[in-house]
Amino acid sequence: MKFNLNRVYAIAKKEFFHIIHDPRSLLIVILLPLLQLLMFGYALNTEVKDINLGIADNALNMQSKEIIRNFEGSEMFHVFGISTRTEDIHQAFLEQKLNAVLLIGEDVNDLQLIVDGSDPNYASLIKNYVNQALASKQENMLVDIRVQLLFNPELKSSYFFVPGLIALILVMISALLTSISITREKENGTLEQLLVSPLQPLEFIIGKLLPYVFLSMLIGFLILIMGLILFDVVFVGNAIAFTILSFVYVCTALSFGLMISTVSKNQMQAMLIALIFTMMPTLMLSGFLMPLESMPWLIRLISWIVPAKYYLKIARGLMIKGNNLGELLEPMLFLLGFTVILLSIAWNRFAKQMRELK
Amino acid sequence: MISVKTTQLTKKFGSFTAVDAVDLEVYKGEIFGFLGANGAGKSTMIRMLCGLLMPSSGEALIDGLDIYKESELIKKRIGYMSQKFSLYNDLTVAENIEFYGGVYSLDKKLIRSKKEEIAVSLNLKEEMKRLTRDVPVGLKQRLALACAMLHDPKIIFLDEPTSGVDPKVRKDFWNIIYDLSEHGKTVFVTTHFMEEAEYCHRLSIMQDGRIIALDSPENMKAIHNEKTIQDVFIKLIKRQNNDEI
Repeated sequence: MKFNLNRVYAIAKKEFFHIIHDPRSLLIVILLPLLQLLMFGYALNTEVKDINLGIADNALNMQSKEIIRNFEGSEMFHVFGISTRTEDIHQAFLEQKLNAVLLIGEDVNDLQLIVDGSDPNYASLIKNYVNQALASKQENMLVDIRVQLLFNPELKSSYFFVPGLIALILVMISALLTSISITREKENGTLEQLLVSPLQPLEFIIGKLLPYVFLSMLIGFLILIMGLILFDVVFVGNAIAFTILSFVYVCTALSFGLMISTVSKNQMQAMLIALIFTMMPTLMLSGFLMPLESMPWLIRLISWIVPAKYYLKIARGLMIKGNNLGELLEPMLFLLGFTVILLSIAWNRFAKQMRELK
Repeated sequence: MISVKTTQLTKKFGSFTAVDAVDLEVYKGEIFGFLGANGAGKSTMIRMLCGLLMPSSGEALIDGLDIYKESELIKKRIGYMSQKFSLYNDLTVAENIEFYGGVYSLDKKLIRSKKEEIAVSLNLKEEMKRLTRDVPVGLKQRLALACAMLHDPKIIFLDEPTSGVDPKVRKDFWNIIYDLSEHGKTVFVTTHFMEEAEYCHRLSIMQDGRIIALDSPENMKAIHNEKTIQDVFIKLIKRQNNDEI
């Protein structure tokens, strides 16, 4: 029972040949993430532009003109004049001509904002923007609150989805690749041929993982570079730290894929399990799309075992905030812990299956 | 010289007994056949001997090594080929050979010379760089055997090696088996082809996990006064069934 590197190398090399002999699958594996990046990039845009704002000015003095000019000068707003009649305002909302209406009373300090609330997220963003625009110019306000946004002053949504997307795609692709690759050997009967050979379970597992580590890392970098070029994400952190921590995350995902392959009967099943158990938790429970802080305690509890939650801290930390390796020690340790646990389950189950064959 | 010896070797799957207390002695250089219907226990027998299945009880020695305690050593001395041929269809012929050579940790020089040897003996110089899936079935079968033999095993287990190939290819394959036997290799073959059974040095007919007859094909035919193994087989199975009723 000796661990033999030659045998690990033989498996890794063979797996590499599997990958390059199937250029169509390889192309899909590489293009799919890029497609996802583009889709998310242009669809998942939380930046608000082109707010149609109706303004009814009843004060008609210098101060109210100043307020209107202020909105007209902003890139975010298109300003329309509107009468103060409730029916007109209502009609404008129904026809979706306007997103919001600002009523300026006869006294300039008597301001009322009416916002189309059918999309609550959009509505609250409009509310904030209008407040900001008003606050910055109102000199006679009693309290002057100056908000400073750290790390993402322009509130660019790409800052938020590019790291999330790297987290999603890495875990999906990695788990998918390994889960299929071992089930395939079971289905084709080649696993049997390996079982009569001196190959050890651990050699088999490590040899299998190696080529996919490289492939997944490559894809990760590809998304990162595309994100930097197409969506002007910043990368203020350390590239080496990013590589190391992404490597740990990829190992977690690959180990998960391995574990799936030990429980599934065929490639189809392996694929489904891999996709469902990586995509849903990563999208919903990692803090990628929705902040975890606003979720009920049970969901927050479950999120503790979602690896993407930790990788998001890492990716956002390194790309946007410029964290150093030491500050990201905690998420890294979690990921390492997951990897060890998943890998030992996979190894155990695999070795047990080998024995049960006997 | 005894190559494989089993004593009361038994395999049960739940309440079903696939192999029932089989005693067997097979000698070096022998071609030993298992003939039987599907489910008679011949595959189970072979799978136990090459370490794919753990026996429920009984003993077995492979080249003098205990299958329970010395399985790692046994693995280096046996070759196994099943009806699935176990080659990677999406790898080239050469890559398959290199891979199996690597799994047995043969050194690079040896793998290279083996590759040339196989190219010459199977006459497939052109095909070396082709994907295995594009190679004709007969050639694939011989290639699978060559891959199972890369580490020069003393004992070779062939589980229905000729199912799914045409009679001409089957004939060629048996010439290789004879060649191996002449070189002192012990060959185990399972089959359900009657005419193939005639080619074995010694033949065991299996039914319901037991060996109901064991002799050379010639002796079997003489004792039962039949012209072919097929007739012997039918006679034996009928008798067995009558006994049970």
